[in-house]
Amino acid sequence: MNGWSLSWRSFQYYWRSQLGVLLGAALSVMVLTGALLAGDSVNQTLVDQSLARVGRADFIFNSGERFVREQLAADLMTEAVVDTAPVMRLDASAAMPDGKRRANQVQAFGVDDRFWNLNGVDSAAMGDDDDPGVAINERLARTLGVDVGDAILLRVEKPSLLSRDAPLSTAGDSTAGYRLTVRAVLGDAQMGRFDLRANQIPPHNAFVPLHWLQSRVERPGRVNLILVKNHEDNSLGAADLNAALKKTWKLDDAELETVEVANQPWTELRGGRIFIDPPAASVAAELSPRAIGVLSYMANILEANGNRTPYSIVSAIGPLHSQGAAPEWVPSSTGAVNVNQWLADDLGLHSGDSLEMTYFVFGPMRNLVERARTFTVGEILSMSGPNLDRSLMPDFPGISNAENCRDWDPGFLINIEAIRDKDEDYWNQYKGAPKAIFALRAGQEMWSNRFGSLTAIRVPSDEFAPDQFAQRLRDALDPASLGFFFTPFRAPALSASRLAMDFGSLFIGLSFFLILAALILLGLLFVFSVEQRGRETGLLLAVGFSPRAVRRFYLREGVFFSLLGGVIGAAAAIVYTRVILWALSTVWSGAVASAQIHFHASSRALLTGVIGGVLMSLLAILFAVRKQASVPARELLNAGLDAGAGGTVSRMRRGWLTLAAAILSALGAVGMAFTADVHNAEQAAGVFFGVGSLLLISILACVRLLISSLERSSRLAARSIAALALSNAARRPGRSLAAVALLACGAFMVIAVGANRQNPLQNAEERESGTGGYALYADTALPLVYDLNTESGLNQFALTRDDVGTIRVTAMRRHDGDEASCLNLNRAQTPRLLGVDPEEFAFRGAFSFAGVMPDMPDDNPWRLLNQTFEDGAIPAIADQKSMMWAMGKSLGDTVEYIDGEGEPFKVRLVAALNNTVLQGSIVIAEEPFLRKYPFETGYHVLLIDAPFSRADELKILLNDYLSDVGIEAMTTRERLAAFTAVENTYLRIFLALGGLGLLLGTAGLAVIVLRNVLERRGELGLLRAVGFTRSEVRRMLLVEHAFLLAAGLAGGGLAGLAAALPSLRAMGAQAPVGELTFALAGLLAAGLFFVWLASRAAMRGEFYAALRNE
Amino acid sequence: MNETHPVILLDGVIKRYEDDPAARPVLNGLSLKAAPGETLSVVGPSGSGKTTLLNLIGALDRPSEGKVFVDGLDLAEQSDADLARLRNRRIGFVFQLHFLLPQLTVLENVLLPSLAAGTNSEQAENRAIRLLNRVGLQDRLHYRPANISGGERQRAAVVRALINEPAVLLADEPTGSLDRASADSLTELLLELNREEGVALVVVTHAENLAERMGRVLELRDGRLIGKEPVS
Repeated sequence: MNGWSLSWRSFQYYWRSQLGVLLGAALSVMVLTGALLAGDSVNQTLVDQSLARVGRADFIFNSGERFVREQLAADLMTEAVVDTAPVMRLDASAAMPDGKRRANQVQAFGVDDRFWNLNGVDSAAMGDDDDPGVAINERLARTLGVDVGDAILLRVEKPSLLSRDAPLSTAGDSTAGYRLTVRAVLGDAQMGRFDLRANQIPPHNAFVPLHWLQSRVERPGRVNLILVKNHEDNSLGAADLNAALKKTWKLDDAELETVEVANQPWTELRGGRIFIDPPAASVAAELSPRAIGVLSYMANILEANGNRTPYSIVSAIGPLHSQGAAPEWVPSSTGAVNVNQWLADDLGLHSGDSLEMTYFVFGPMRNLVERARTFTVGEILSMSGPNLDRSLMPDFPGISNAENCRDWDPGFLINIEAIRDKDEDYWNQYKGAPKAIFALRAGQEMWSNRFGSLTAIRVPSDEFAPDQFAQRLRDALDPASLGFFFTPFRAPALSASRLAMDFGSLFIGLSFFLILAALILLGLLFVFSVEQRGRETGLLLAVGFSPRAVRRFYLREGVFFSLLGGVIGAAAAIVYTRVILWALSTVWSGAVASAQIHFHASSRALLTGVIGGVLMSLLAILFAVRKQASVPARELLNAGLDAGAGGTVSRMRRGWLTLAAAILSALGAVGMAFTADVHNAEQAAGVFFGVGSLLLISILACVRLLISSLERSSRLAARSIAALALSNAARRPGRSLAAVALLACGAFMVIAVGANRQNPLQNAEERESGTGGYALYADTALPLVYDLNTESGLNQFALTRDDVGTIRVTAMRRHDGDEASCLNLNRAQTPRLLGVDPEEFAFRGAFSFAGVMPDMPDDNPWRLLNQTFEDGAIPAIADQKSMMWAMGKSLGDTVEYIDGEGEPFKVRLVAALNNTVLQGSIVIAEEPFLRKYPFETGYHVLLIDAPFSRADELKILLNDYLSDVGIEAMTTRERLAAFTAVENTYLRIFLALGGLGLLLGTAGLAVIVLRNVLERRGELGLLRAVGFTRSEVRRMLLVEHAFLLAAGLAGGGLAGLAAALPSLRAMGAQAPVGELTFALAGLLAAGLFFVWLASRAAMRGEFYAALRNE
Repeated sequence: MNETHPVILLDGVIKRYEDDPAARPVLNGLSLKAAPGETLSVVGPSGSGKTTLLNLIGALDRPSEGKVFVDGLDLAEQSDADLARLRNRRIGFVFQLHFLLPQLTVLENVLLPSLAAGTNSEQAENRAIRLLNRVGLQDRLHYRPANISGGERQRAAVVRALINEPAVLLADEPTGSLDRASADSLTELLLELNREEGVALVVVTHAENLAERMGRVLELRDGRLIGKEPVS
C-alpha cells in the first residue's frame, strides 16, 4: 500500500456518497470544455466558410473598375503553368419580376467552365451565350423566394471605360436589366459563397455565362478578375505571378494604344479612358526627350468681341522635357492662345485680342463648376496646317462617335439651342480638330484632375514606330502601377478566419460565473466530506502523518474525483456544446450574426478543456483542504465533526491580514480604474472585470472581518434569537464566507449585465449620439455620382425636393474591404475604407468620441483627418468597437492597405468613435482617399439628415427610387440596433450561463443550510429541549442564513455597481435601476425561499434523538 | 524502573487551555517518570486532566510550562514534523473508539502507520500479519471494519498501535466501548503485548479492574498526581 493506493481506496469507498463533489468537478470540466468546443466549432466553421468563399483559388487579380483582356488569363496560364480562370464581376441588384422581393447588394459573376474547373466543381447550369440563364446562390434564392425554373430580373452595372467621376464622362445608362431563368441554386460546395471579402454572412451571388455578360455590358473579351490556383506543391508566390504578369500584359489591358498620327511626324500614345494614367504618362514621357504632351478638353463658350462660339474642342500642347520643343503653332506663354481661322472669323478675332473661355470642371458628385479664363490671341492658324489635327481630340464618350453636334452627350447638360448650323458644319468637316491651342502648362492648370493631366503623348516617329513605342513602354511600365497585380487570396482568407475572435475564450469568459460557482460548490462539498471525516484526519495525524501528508492524502483523493469528473465532464461537454450551438443557431443567433455553426471537436480543445477543468477542480480542492489537518489531532479525535468550528488560531493576525487584503484590493481597484487605457477595448473589458474582482475581494474581506467581529461578540448571543443566529453565522467563517462569495458573484453578474446593456437609441436624435443626428444610413451597390442635395441630383432618380422634403445628404466614398463590425466574426484585416470631407462632420459636431490618440489635439477630432504624419500614414477614425474587436487594434495603431497602384500604405487610427452607425469601416479624409484610389468612382455610403419622424417614410422612398444604384437604406436606429443586438445577445448568454451559476450558488446555499442544521442537530435539539419552539429555531436559522444572503447580494451588488460606473456614465448607457433592483430583490427572495426550504427539510424528524446521541 | 533512561519523563508540567496565565491550569506542576516496558494506569474523575496528560505524553499537545521527554527527546525542542515522526515511530495510540478507516481492510488499517513511516512494506506487512495472528485476527485480514465485531476492531487498533514497534503504548479508555468479556480479553492482550514487545504501557481509564492490572496506578486530582507515584 502506498499513498496513492490509500487515497484510491478512500475514493472507491466514498465516491457514491460524494456525488456532489463529482458533479462539481464534472460540471467545471463540462463548462470549460464545452466553451472551448463551442469556440472550436465557431472557428472551424469560419475556416470552412473561408474555404468555401475562396474555392481553390490561391491568388487573385482584381482590377476593379478596369477591365483587362480575357486572353491575359490564358497567357498567364501558359507563362506560369498554372490554372487560371477569368471572371467578370459586376455589382448588381436582383428582383422578382413583379418587383415584390428584391436584393440590392448582389454580385454578378460572368464565368465559364474555367471557373468551375479551377474550383473543382461540376459546371453549374447557367445556360450558354445563346440561351442564357442564371445560377444563384442559396442566400439570393432565399431572399427572392425563388427556385430553379423561376425568372428573376438581374440589373447589372454597365461598366464605363472612364470613371463616372471623371470630367466629360457619361453617366447615363449606367445599369442594364435582364430577365433570366434560374437554372441552378448553388450551395457552398458549388461556389455559392464565392466572395472577395471576408464575412461569415454569405453574399447574394448570381453567376451568368461570361461571354453573354461581356457582350451585354459592351465589354467583349474583357474581365476584371483572374483567379489562379497554385501548383500542387504551393511553389508559386504572388511575386512569381506578378513577374509572369509583367511578361504577359499588354498596353491594351490598360486601354492604351500607340498609333501613327496621320500626316504628321508623330507616334502617339492615347487611351480609351480619355486621360492617360499618370504612371503610364510619366514612363512614356521618359522614353523620349522630344516627347510632347496633349491635353484636349471641351470649352463651353469661347467669347470675344461680343461674339460667342459654343461647345468647342480645344487643346493644350507642350514639351514634356525642357530640351523638347512644342510645334511652332503652339503658343509658348500660358496667357496666350492661338486660334484657327474658323474661330477667328466666327469671333472676329485678331492677334492681340482677348479671348474668354468658359469651361466646366467636375466637383464632387458630378457637380459642375463653370470656370472662365481670358487669354490673349497670338497667332491665327490656317485651316490647312498641322494644327487642324482631328486626332488631338481623344475618344470622348458621347462625342467622338456622334454624327452631329446635336447628338453629343458629353456627360453634362448642353444647350442644344446654342449650337448653330455653322457649328454643325465645322463638326462635319473637321470633327474634333481643336479651334484653339494653348500652352500645355495653361491647359494643365485648368483641367488636370485625379485621372490624369494628358490625353495623349506624342514622340517623334523617327524615334519610335508605334510598335516600338508600345514595346518600350510596356517593358518600362510596371503593371502594378496601373492597379494590375496579383495578391494572395486563400491565405489571407484563412488568416482572417483563424485570427477571428477567440470564441473559446469568449465563452469561457461568459461561463466565468458558472465555472466559479461549480468550483466553489465543489470545494465546499469536498470540505464537507473532509470535515465529516474529522476523526479519520485525527487518526492519521495521531499515527504520525504530518498535516501536509494528510492534506496530500485528501488531495490525491481529489485527483481521483477530478479525473472521474473529467471523464464524465468530457462526455457531457459534447452534449453541452451541441446545446450551445443549437442556442447559437436559434435564440442566441445574434451573437454569431446568424451564421450556421457546425459542431467540431478537436482533440486539442477536448484535452485542453478536460485538463484545464481537472486542474481547476484540483485547485478548488487544494484551496478547500489547505486548512484541513491544521486542527490538533486530539480535537479531531474528540470532537470529530465539530472540530475546528470557531477556531481560535491567531485571530488577531488573521484580522490584520484580512484588513490588509481589503485595503490593498480596494487600492488596487482604484489604481486600475485610473491607470487603465479605457480606449483599448480588451483592456476596458479587463478593467471592468479586474476592478470588479478586486472590489469584490475587498468587500468579501470586509464581510470576513464582520463575521470575525460577530465571532468575538458571540458571548452576547444569548440575548436574542437574532444575536444567536448571527453568532452561528460566525461559527464556520470559511463556510459562511464561501456562501457570501457565491451569492456576491451572482449579484455582481446581475449588475454587470444590467449596467453594460447598451441602449444606443437613447438621445438618438442628438448629433453627438451614435446616429450623428442622421436619420438614415444607406449603402449603394453601384456608385452614386449625383448630388442628392441638389434638385438636379434628385431629378436623376425621378425625385423632387417636394418628394424628399428637407434633407441633407453626407456622401462618403467607399473602398470595399472587410466588414469590421461585430456582424463579422472574422478578423477584419483590411476593413472597408470610407472617404469623407472631415469638415462635414466637424462642422456638424457629428458623433461622440471615445478617445483620441495621445498627443493629438482633441477639440474636434474630425479635423485630425487633415493631419499628416512623417511616415506618410493617413490619419483615420474608426468606431471603438470595430477597432477593438473586429480589427484587434488600438489608437495609434496602423492598418496596411494596397493602393490603386499596387503600393502599400498605412492608415493610422487617430480617434475612436463611440458606438456609432459607422461601425464596420475606417474613415479617412476624401482627399487622401482619392489620392490612393483615384479610380474609385462616386459615393457608396450616405448619411441622411432628415426629421426622424419621417425616417421610415424616406427609407421606403429611397429604396424604391434609387433601386437602380442598388441602394439599401435603413434608419440609423435600425442599424445601431443591429449592432447592439450582438452585444446584448452576448449579455443574454452571460446572463443565461450566469443564471445556471446562480442556480448552483443557491443550491450551494441550500447545501450549507442543510449541512449547518445537520451538524447542529444536537444543539438544535437542546434548544428545543430548553423550550424554544420549532418556529423559533427555524427563525434563528432563517436569520443566520438571510444574513449571509444579504451580505452576498449587497457586496456583489456594490462591487458590480462601482465597476460599472464608467459604463453607466457613458453616452447611451441607461442605468436600468428598476430592473436591477427587481433582479436583486428576486435573487434575495429566491435565496430566502431556498433557505427556508432547506431548513424545513433539515429540521424534519425529532431532535431529541440527536440530543441523546450527543 | 530504569532510573537512567526513563522512556517518559514529565517535569513540572503545567497545561492551560486559555491564553490567560491567570487561568486555572488543567495540569498543575505535574512530574512523572516511566521506564521502558513499565505499565502504569492513570485514574481520576472526569475533568481531572487524564486525557490531557495522555495527549502531552503522546506529543499531540504541548505543555504551557515544564518539560516533557519521550524516549529521551525533549518535546519542546521538536518541530511539528519531528513530533509527527515521534508519534509515528515511538508512540502507539489506542483510543476508546477504534478509529479504523472504514474504507480499508483490517490489514491495511494496521499498516497505516508504516505508510506514514515509509518503512519497507513487505517487512511491515509480515509484522502486521504476525501481530494480527497473535491477536487472533488471522481470519480477518481482509475484512472491512464494518464486518468484524467491536472487540476485534479494538484488537486491530492495538496491532495498528504496535506496528512501528513503539517505545510507548498509550491507551485512552481502551475498554470503554467494550462489553465485559471483550474488555477483559483486551486487557490481557495489552499486558501480553507489553511483555512481548517491551513497550511501556500507559492506560487512562475509569475501569478499576483495568487500572489495577498495571504496575503502577497514578491518580490525578485537580491537575496533580496524588499519592501513588513518587515525584522526582
